[in-house]
Amino acid sequence: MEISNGGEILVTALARQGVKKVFSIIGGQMGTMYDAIGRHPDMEVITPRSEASAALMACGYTASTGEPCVSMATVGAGVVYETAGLLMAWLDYLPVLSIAPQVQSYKMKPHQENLQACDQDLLFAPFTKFSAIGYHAKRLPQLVDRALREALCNIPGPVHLDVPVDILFERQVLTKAQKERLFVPPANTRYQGAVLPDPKAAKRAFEILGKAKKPLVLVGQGMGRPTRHKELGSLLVKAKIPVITSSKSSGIVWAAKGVDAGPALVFEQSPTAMRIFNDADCIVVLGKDAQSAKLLEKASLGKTLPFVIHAEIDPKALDAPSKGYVPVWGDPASVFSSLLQAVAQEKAWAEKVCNASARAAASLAGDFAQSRSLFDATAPSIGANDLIVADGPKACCATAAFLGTTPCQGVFMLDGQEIAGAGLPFAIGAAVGNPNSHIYLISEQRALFHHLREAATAVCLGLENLTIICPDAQLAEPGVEGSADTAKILAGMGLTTRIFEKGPALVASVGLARAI
Amino acid sequence: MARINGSQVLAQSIKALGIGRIFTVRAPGLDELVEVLEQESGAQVFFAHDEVAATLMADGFARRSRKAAAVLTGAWGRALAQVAGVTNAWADRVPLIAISLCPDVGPDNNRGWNRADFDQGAVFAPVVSWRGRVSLPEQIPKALAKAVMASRAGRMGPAHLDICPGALKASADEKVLAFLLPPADPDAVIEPARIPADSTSLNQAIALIKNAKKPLIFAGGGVKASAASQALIALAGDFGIPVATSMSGIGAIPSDSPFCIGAPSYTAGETFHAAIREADVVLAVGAAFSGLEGFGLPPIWGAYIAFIHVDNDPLVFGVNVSPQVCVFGDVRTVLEQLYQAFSKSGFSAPAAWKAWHEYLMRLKKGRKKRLDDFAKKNWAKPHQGRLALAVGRFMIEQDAIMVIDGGNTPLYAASYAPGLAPDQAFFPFGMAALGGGVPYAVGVALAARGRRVMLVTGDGSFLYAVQELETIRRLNLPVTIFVNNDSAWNMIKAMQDSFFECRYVGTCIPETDYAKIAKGFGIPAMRVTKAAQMDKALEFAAGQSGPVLVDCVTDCKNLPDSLLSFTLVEFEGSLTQLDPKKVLKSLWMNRSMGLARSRHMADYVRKAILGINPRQKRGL
Repeated sequence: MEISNGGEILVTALARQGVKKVFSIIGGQMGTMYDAIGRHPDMEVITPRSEASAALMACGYTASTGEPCVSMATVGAGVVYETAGLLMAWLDYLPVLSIAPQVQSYKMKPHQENLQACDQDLLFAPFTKFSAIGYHAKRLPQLVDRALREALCNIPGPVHLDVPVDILFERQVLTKAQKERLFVPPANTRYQGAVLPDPKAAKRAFEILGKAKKPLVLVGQGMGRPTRHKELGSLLVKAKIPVITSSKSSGIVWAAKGVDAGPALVFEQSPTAMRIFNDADCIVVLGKDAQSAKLLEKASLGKTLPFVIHAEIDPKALDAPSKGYVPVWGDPASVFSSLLQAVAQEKAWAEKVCNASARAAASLAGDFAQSRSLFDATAPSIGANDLIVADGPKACCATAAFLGTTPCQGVFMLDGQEIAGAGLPFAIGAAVGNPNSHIYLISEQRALFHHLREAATAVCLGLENLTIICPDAQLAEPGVEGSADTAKILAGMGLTTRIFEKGPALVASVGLARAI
Repeated sequence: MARINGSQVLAQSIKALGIGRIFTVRAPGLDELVEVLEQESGAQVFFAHDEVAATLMADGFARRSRKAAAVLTGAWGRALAQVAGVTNAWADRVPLIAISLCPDVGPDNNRGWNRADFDQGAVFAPVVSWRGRVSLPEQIPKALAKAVMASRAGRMGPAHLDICPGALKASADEKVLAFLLPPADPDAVIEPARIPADSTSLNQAIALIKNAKKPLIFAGGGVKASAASQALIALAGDFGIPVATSMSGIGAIPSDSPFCIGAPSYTAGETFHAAIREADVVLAVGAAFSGLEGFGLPPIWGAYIAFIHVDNDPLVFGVNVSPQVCVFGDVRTVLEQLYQAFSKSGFSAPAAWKAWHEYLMRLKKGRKKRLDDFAKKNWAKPHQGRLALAVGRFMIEQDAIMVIDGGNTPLYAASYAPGLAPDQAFFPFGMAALGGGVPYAVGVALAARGRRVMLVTGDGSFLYAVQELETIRRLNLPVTIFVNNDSAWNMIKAMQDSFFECRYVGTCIPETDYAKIAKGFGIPAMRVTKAAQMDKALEFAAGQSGPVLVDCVTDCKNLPDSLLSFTLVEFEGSLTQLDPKKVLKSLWMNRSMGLARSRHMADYVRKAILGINPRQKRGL
């Protein structure tokens, strides 16, 4: 017989489902879970300096690796810090599993004026795919399995699980066989294969695309990332149609000549670039999100849109068919694969779109354009295996404009419209998940200050594969708002810092800096 | 009639409602609105670097000043970043106004691809007194007025208002402002309604108290919210009734007052435990019997206590304890009514009360001596108690206000704090949240107008909002920061020591020089590694008119003894489930904590938890 407890059962369930990293700040109620993680050879806790960063780190880890991970915070006081970070997972379609302990099961809902008690499951319900409470230790593996299935299948998104402290500590005396029966093998319960397109709709789409001379592809929802049909990127490159990526799918065709038409943000903010849509005769939407929807809305103002072919893995995300609109149920990668043969590659059109975007990006870079030499100096050190995280709208546009031809593994555009300053914790999560890649965080000063504390986390984790570049770093003007000496602050936290040329750009790293 | 836009309607509404301070963060979509508010609302606008910090600053300001304060942020993640601070305000009944932008389109309840149109307001629902959403400028005045009223009525708490950007851009007839009353004074203190107790319950309470042999007043945060300290001190002092406070009630009566049993809650150790175990009648005023104090239930509280519960929220009655008498009314008014009734009847404390009081004072004296002696031992690194004593001394000399942050640090700070005034110590006890220290210090300093604010923080919590050191420096706020730097999330590390075979996972913090970090922000700072340096550090800190930081390196092997009591309550029913063999092994592995520390904790178990105090009981 084995003496176990709810926390250990929960951790074993997570490990069996492939979870390796838990981003978390500990609370006493999680004691049994932490102890179990400490004894597990394949799991690790990554500790930020605030729960607000934990979920953002989890986003960076999952988005860049495609692997599930957990963001965990203690009851009440800890978990409420996570809201904005978990919202990023919701808005960016990332399958992050959020777990939090609760007060004793017999003192909650309604709570009895417990310390730190609040209705956490209700708090997270509006922006998670699944929010549940584990009332029995033996049900925890089933709930973990269900939670991850919800998180990963159809259109991905975060899920939340509350587990009362008495359940986490409750002694479970089980035989080996009884314990094994608790756990569900993930391969049997989580479908992540292809969803082939509905043949009728696909045929119609094929006909329409076949006739198009000036097609555009709009990719959103995180399609093409490691979390979702990574192969889509190479399919798009093969097709050689200009591809506009929303921030959720940014970088999936990065630097592909004649294909990468840059981030949707550029078109959103540049009327000149937006004129491209006047010429397009067919738009293929692969995974719609708020940013791509906004672009389509803008494109259709005052006139009829060209044909729109819209592919979704979840048929409920499609609109009803209408004149000029062809909804196709199927995973966008499989749908696009079926359309490949229809595409007539128009080089001139592709170049026109990509050039318009590049020009607009450069003009939107604002005062970051003055840091052109910084970007030029950075480009040679970026390898094909590396990742770029751009934080802030100017940083995103400048990255698109000045590093748009620098091949790398992936680019994440965090334009700050929905979540502010996520770049540093996101980049840390990506650095943890990709130890063989170098992560370049290009961040606006204002964005960097949101989670500045995590510079200490980067030092503590020894993340020598992370370089922070702040083109508009303030270098001390006493009395002026925001004029802290960023270099000194980061150096105080243990980073190696260097002013690029005469400033204001700043490069910071853990240990020896990359040659920039 | 002239037309004005929604931003102007909001500005005029804020002015009319007397919301004098707005805390915000520069953000796209918000800058234009903030400019209008700065010009037309009459409110002072303060900028933080981060929305979490802005909310905590507003909360800190509201707690210290008891005046109206609001936080204003953008939508989505910026709005949800408010939740942490709003939850603190909700748990501690602070009437904070939380305003955020929200998507123009209503929530998409079908939750397809459109993740952006989620129900933002619903996220706040579990942690606010009221919430609303406006999509037209005409709706703003009434909604904001309702938010303000709901936050202050009955059980106070935060109110949240979502405003669509469309409502701010659209124009409305100026007559929409006619709804509002003439501008309220933004410096008016928020007063609760002074509802008196009815005579029946009052008389029942009086009869119960008069017949008591060992009465105790248990004062919660409601005493401070009602500005009832003087009334409490008068009742306790003139009629000889000992007073214990909850953690939220810290400072409701100065701990060095002859009728206060000492530090708040379990930090008063054996005195508090004896008081709540042996009292026969407990007059609970503005206290919710929360989990932090064991819910008012046995075995920690006496099984035969007759409770008299005074509160202005009837929903609090009977949640945990079953009071013999429920007195609905404003705490200060009821205390004054009780005082008058006792005075009129010529009541004076019987001999039994005097003996009871003297017994508790013996325990109090013994505890203080034991704690002080222990802190002042010749430890290799400064003991946290030594730091707390030094900080207490600094507080008196500088007439400073204390903001506390951390896990063990609040326990130390409370255990050793000198007698405090009601508005002199701040920590979000309801949620016991980490990380609010720096932004709370900003809010409290702004409310305290030039008076020195002292932040006593653990190292685990200090970095949460470290970016706001720039705000402190920019505004040149007189904030002195003492960091209890034990390189650990020590409250939980202690748990791993005691129950999990010293397997440290996620509880060790690498050695960090916080003085260096502070200097990076342009804040003078000093590091203390030996007890002998403490006096010099205080001198250094006292010599700075603006912000300053002292990083005090302490030993993580030290633990506040009252942590044992908190653990018993917090983990009720859980710790006994652990494998006893592993627990014994853990305790054996942990023997390196040393004889002195082990004896200190054993003393606490004996005197406080088991109540074995023969000398004090015999009057020695």
